[in-house]
Amino acid sequence: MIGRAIFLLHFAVFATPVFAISGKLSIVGSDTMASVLTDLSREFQSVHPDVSFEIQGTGSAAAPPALAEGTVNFGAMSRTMSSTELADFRRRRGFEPRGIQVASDDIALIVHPLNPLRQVSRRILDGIFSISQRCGGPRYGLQWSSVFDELGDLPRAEIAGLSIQRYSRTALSGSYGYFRKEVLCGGDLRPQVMELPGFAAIIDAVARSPGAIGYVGAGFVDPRVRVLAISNAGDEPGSGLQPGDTGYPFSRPLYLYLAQAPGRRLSILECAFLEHVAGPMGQAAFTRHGFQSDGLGLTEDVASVCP
Amino acid sequence: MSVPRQRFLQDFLFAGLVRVTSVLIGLLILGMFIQMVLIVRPLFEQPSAVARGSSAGLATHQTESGLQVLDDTGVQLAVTVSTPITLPKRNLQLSLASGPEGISIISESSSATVGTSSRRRLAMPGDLDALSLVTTDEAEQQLLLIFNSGAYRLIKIYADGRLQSGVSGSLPPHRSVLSVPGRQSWILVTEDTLEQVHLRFAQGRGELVPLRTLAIGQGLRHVSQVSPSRRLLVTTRSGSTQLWQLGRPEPATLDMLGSDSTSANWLSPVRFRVHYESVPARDYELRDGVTGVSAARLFLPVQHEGYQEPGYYWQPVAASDGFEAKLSLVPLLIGTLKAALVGLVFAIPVAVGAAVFVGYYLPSRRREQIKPFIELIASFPTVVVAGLVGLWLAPRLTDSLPEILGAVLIIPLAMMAVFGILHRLPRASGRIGSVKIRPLVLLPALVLVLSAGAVFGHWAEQWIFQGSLLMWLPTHGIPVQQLNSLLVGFVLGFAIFPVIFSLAEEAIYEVPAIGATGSIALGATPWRSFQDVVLPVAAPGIVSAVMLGFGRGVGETMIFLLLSGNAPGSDWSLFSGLRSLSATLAIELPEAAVGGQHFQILFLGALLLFILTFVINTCAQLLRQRVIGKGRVRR
Amino acid sequence: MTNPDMFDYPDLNSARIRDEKINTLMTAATGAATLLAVVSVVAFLGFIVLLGGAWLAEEQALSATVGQQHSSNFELLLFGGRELASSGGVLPAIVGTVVLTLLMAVIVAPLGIVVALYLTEYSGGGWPTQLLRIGVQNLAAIPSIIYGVFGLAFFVYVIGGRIDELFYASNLPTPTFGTPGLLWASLTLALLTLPTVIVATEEGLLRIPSSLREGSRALGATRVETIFRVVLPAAAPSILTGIILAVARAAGEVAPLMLVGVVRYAPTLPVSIEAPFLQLEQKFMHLGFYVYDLTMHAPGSEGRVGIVAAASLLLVSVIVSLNIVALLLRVRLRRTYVQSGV
Repeated sequence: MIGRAIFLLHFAVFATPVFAISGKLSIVGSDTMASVLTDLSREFQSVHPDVSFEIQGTGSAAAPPALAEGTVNFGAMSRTMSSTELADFRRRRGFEPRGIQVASDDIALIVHPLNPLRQVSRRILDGIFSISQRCGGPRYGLQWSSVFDELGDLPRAEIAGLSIQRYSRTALSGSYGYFRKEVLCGGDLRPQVMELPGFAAIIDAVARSPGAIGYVGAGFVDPRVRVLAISNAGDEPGSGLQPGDTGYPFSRPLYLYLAQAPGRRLSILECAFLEHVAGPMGQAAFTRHGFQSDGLGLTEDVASVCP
Repeated sequence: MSVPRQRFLQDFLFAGLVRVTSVLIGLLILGMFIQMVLIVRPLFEQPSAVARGSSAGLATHQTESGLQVLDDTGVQLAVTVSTPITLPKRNLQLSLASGPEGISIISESSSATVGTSSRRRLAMPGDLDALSLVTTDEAEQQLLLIFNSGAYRLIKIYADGRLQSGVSGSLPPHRSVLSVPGRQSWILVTEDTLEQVHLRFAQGRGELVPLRTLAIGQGLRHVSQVSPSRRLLVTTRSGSTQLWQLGRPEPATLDMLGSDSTSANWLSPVRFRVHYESVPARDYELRDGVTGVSAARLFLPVQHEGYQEPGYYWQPVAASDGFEAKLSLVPLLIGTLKAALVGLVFAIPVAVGAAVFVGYYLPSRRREQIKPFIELIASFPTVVVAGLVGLWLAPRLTDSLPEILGAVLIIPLAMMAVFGILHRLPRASGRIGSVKIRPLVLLPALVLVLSAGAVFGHWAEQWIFQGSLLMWLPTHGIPVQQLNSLLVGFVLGFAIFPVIFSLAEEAIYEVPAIGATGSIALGATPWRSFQDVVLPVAAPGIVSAVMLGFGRGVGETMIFLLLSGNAPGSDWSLFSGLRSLSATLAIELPEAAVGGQHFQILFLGALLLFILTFVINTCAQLLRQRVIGKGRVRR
Repeated sequence: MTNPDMFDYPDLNSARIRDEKINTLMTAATGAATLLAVVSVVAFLGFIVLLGGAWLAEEQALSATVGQQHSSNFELLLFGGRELASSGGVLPAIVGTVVLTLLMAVIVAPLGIVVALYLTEYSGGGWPTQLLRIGVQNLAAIPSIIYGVFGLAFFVYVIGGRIDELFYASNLPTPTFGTPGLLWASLTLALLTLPTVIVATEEGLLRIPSSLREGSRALGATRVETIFRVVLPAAAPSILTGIILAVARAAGEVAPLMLVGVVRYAPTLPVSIEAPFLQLEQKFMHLGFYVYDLTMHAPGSEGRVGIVAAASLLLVSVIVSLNIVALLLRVRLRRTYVQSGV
């Protein structure tokens, strides 16, 4: 009886093939990255069928605490960690988290096709979205006419009488943080700004109401809405940049953060996944989802954590 | 003999198990409440500190990027301007120097991509030695110079490094200036008070405006820096130490520190060192979790830094470090109640009407067919209802808002009209009362009335609202959103009407039929006997059903999450979006740092929701119990 | 004309006519309300069935998926594809829902039955009983999100944190049970559905005539024997009804799960063929959350309504059929008692 148990135990311990990569990878964080990560995980699984995945795309803010707690292998973030988050991580783990930029994502400003706006500046966006107007934007009224009047040279559109409907992501998403920090100069959103939990929902809402304006990840844009060009300095026409252009101002990095204690090596599994992400298949997935992935030195970054 | 003993033991043990389990369940229910209270309690506790000795490792408190110079006691003495100020966001470097005109500011673009470094200069009057603060705002768009005399000057920084002298104004004269994290407000240290001023933008122009005065009371001896969690330690002339949380009107006096201290300075966000006249310096730590939120901050209008006017704002998540959290619960409460009330307005007529018809008019056999069918809706997952409505109905609803409003408003009109027609009919046709109402007649009538309402709404839009209600309303100061309270209320009404229907119908059905039939036998019409015999008995039950429906509406989450737009406005307009407590919990709680202020305030919200539904439910149950207590007979 | 009353008591008569008019009006109005209610239920059900059914019947209307090709939309929904955004197929969500609700049923059934037994068989009806009854009634009215909040704070952070300290200390600071997961989600849902089971069981227990119990006791059976041999078998259909209703409720709840462990994508099933068979600490997918996720995140155009409707159709048909089973059970139960003359 005991002999048999020992025999079975041996079997359990030694029969596992050593070289097949197996285990569980869990990734928490950015909702923007969730779909591309799902694709990546599926591709990865087709090569390594014994690996299981757990992907939770609630928002970038979820990544630092989860990483600090050690609940996850990677924290996906569509922005850099703030210094508070970094400090919190340091306090709990005693070392710095390591961020690997895997792609970058442009934030596109979208309006309904009936809207005559073609190009906006930070100042106008500040006026539309912000309550504290830190970028020095004007204070617009309820209706679009106040925006059009201020800009002057726009044709009086049929939507001029409609209320301005502003759409944003919910407070946990990296895009929300990015938008407030970079587009609104760190200011606050007006209380009238609608917060929806997904980009698809924002696109739907904007496509369906002529008075709407919102921001989405450029990869989500579909033909039912119009993408606005962003003019960097003044409001002069023709100087605007579209998402994807070089120098587009509202471009944010997408990171995979990992908690690598000094002197500790990443597991084979984690490295294999990172190498997959940096490889041609992984990069193709990012491009397919509308992200930019070239010229980031990703392979070197991965090589530096996984020698 | 052992068998009976074993059986007895078995019986005894099981009885014990049952009792203990039940008590545990009871305690668990109680525990739910107590646990929430425990989590929320630190919010309202007075801060206190515990001694930590003075040997512990010192974490130096981080200061802002070289913009101010502090002596070792934390008070800023003067600004040295020899080191240039780097603006990382703008790729610029600013340096100040004394020039013939007063002060000259030189900006140098350090952008590597441009290749050429451009140098620009701005001269302005003033004395470099009289400067008490040089800083920029968070976005590095404005350079702010404050002089000891109280004069200040804002200089706009353009992307290409061009500088333009902007607003200048005057503030009270002061000894020094403290920076508040977030670079949106500063504290002027005068002889006896601390004056907080904030940078406010209006129509593109910034200005520095007094925000609030921190009344020290006993004279000022020393002021610490402002910690990242926006606290500062003030040592008064009498030697006591006050802990100020910016945004709170009152300081907390830390009595445990003794009363002969000379200064107190932060070592880390929760640790500080106190120097004494007689004894050596000691280190203290603030008790964990103490955040010190006053009820006033949660429920009264608050003037926030950089905002135009005081108000109720909910914006708890930081966009950047040093962010002042906006934590008014008022928008969430208003949103919750607004939607639940609108939901009731939609649900009550249908639910109570159907309850009367099914519980009173319909024969029992038919009742048993229809009732479970309607109740089926109560078991529907609200995520399905909200999801499909959000995707399919919401855009259509907004597009045909006037038609739908017309159709809803016409129902009472139609009832009045029908009554008027009936009333005016000649006496001889008074027998119309006995005409049987059949669905086949009702359905077309209903369709007819509703479409008449829609046509009326359409017509009204053309003639009264100048062709477009969606444009007419904002012109008159009412913004219209696609995801609005009407939509939420409508769907909420759909979700809660089966609850109200089911309970109200039961209340009506349980009234013994004998009263109503007797009254009808004596010649009263069915409605007359309902009104005079059944309703007085059933009314408390119906009211309690409505209350329970309200409670259900208040706590619903998925409908709010998907359809309300989650905009934390604090108005009662039906055409704007709203944000509910429940949806806020679902969105923000999973990611709020455990034990942090945001976490605790969300728990306070949950506690409020808990208490609200508890009170509503208990009242409703008491109401029902009172009725049942009357000793009615079941039929 | 010939009725003398008409002339003798004109007021009374006109009041009667008025009453009849009001009666007609109110009958029509309440009838219309009922009709509106029924029509809205039918319309909503029809809407889901038609829209979802139509989408399912379509021949792969959307573009091909990454790596795999599906012959029909039904397969696409089951196994997932790019059109469903990150959510993968619905299959793991179905398994997740089933495991979750079964686990919940295993927890809630004994608890609910025991509390109901206490309320009907053991308690003397004093103030503790009244208090417990009020507590249970209130439990039924507490918003589901509050259960989620409680589950997160108590089950996850307090109990889970303690379990980690005691049994998984080597893994700390990485929590094992101190993080949202299957076990805590099913405990939360068990608490949420507890009143449903208690009320249904109590109803069944009360319906059993006391003569049965008295007979059993008179024959010398102890209380526990009476309960297990006589009372519970007789109440079994009611208990089953309660459990089915609880499962139906749990299958449709989303809000509390968002706090205690549901994730958008966890294709690894929480069940396995090796011991310990159930990964209690694992996060899981859920059909209701899947619908929510599709509504908010699935990219694409108008076609989304179809996908959402199809997923909703799955969820609704499970819940509606569970409810119908419970209803039929209840009806049969009533009939049995009527026939047996009790």
